[in-house]
Amino acid sequence: MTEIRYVKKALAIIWVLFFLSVVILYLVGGEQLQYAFTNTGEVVRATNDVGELTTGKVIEQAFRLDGNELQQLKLYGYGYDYDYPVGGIMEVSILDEDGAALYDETMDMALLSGEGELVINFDPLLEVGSDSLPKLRITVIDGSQGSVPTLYYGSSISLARGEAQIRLQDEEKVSVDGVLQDGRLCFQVTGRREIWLGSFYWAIAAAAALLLAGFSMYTLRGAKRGSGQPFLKMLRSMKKYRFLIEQLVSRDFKTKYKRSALGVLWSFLNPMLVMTVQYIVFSTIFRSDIENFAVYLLTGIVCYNFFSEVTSLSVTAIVGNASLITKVYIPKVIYPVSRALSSMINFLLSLLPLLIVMLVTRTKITPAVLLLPFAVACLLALSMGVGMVLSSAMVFFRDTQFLWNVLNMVWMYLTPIFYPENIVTGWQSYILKLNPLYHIIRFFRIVLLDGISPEPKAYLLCFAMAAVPLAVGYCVFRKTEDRFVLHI
Amino acid sequence: MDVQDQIVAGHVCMQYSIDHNRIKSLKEYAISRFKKTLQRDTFLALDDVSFSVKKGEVFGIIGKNGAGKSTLLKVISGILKPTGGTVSVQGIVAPMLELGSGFDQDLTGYENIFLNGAILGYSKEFLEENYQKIVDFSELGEFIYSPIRTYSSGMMMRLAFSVAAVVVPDVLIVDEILAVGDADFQVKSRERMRELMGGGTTVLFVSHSIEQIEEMCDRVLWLDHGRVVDIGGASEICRRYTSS
Repeated sequence: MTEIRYVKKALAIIWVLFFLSVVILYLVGGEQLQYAFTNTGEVVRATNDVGELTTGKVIEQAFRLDGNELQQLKLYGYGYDYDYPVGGIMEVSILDEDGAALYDETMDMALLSGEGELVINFDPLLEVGSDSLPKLRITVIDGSQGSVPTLYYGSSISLARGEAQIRLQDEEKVSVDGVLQDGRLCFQVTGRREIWLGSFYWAIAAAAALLLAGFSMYTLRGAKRGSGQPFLKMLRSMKKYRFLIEQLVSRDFKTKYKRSALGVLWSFLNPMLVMTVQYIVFSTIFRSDIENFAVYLLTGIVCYNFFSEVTSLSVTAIVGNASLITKVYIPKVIYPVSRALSSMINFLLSLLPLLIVMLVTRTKITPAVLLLPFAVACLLALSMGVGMVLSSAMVFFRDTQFLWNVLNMVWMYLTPIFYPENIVTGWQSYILKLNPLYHIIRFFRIVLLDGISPEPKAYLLCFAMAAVPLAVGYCVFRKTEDRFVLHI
Repeated sequence: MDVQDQIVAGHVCMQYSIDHNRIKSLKEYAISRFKKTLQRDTFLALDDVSFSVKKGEVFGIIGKNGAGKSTLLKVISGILKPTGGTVSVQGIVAPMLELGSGFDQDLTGYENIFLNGAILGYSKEFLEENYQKIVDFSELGEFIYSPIRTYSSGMMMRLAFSVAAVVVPDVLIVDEILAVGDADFQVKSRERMRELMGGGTTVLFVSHSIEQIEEMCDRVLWLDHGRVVDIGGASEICRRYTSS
């Protein structure tokens, strides 16, 4: 009978968590859940100009946007150094594929004077067909030589180091008075696209609730009959070994700093000091132009430290507990799990310096931080999965510990912790996208730095990148655990 | 399976593989694999062992060194998975193999009682209830709040025995009766052991001392080279074992 009460309690917790996450996601996710935000890509380097915008000049630039609503248009121009004030009248219009005008506005060219940046916000949003090729047209209505600005075009984009030529198709090139130029206008259009998740959010939530209800019924019925469903088995062993895990975690945590003078303060100090060193190195010697670099850096460090700590502790989780494993029967999964959980405490403590740095740098803390538990869970699952493979491999192959030291370092450099992610281009970016840590750290950064929810795809990627390693790690571990005792 | 049976072992086999030509590097491994000279000899530590132990019975296991006694205990306590056959055990098994292996040197005696208790499978409530009993039995007094790296080995063994002996498990596995601490404590621990053995707990008992076995056990299993020579009443088996 007590088991049924325990199962009921567990199910109640799951339901509460479910409702909380549905509501939080809806409230915090906001626009990001309903729309995907896109733009026309990076602005090209301004290498050429289209010449003075004198009366009658027509500049046309087609663009492709992965969306159906335009939000904003940004034009980059230059107002020469004239003696006269820059001015004139131009007509900025957006045409659809058939040449019909969707938007039309006459504006003063004085807006482009100096290092001019002209911004037009479309309000209401401008509807263009999805997957279409709209065209931006600028017609000069009145402008006399010597007092008009110009617009730039170019055919290369700047990278963190140097620049890269881009290959342009004819339809992407800018045309001046009907003549195609070898380049693209310096401009950017941002827009958005409705995604199906937004419109079906409550339907999906209801379907999930229905599934969960079915699962609860099934589990309760199983519990009454005392059957051995996997979930019930898991609950039973959780109940049985909870105390042991608590004890092991508290041992790991207590003994970690037991004989050091500063003790648990190291959990705060360590990430702080690492960040300070790297901050100095990367903001003076290697200059990087990342906004709010301190928070960017510290987020990466804290996440990577956790991953690195869990995995290196897991390497010795089985071998280091040999004296216990050969004497007492305990489900062996407990060893790597307890190590991961004790690192978790450390990780949570090291979030405090992160908070301090956020306050000091005046980073806005938004309700989006409520989404962090998801990313933390993914990070934990990923680390545990890798840790299980390592702890099992170590038993049969003692070189694992040395190999892992090297691999750990390689992994660190593959993850954008102290460098910006757009530094990585070409084939290297495929490697980056395969790196689970990249996706998880990116999630952290979007939430903390931008203060918004990431796009729905980021959730899926994080989840998959954490669940797959965990499942693989668990299977490998369970497959090999019976042979551990013969090899340690 | 009879309701009365606490432990049932059916045709248990335990096979170890031994490499004779110890492979030292990957290259050697690849070469020998290629040449097919990679031979692994197998060694049967337990060969078709079947027996059952009833509830409350004190069951002795005798045999020479290397007969497979400890292997059998490990198989029953779940540490080793048999390569063949089945073992089923009802209830909680308390291993009393090498005391104190779950201790952490940097923790205090108090913390170690809870850690070691958890490893032995006790619940939190049980430990809190019996904490005073454990401390009293161990005679450690105020030392219980010092890290155990400051303990003498005798003190440590006393603490370990106290933690292990406080429980009344369904199955108690004893590999040699332990001579722990000074003479007084030895008497005390032996008494506690007898108390457990007489108190309805099923006991698996391994010892080299035939007198102890004969005195304490109801039935005895005689192992030789991993095979069962005989199972029967304690006095009869012991007599035959000593005369062989």
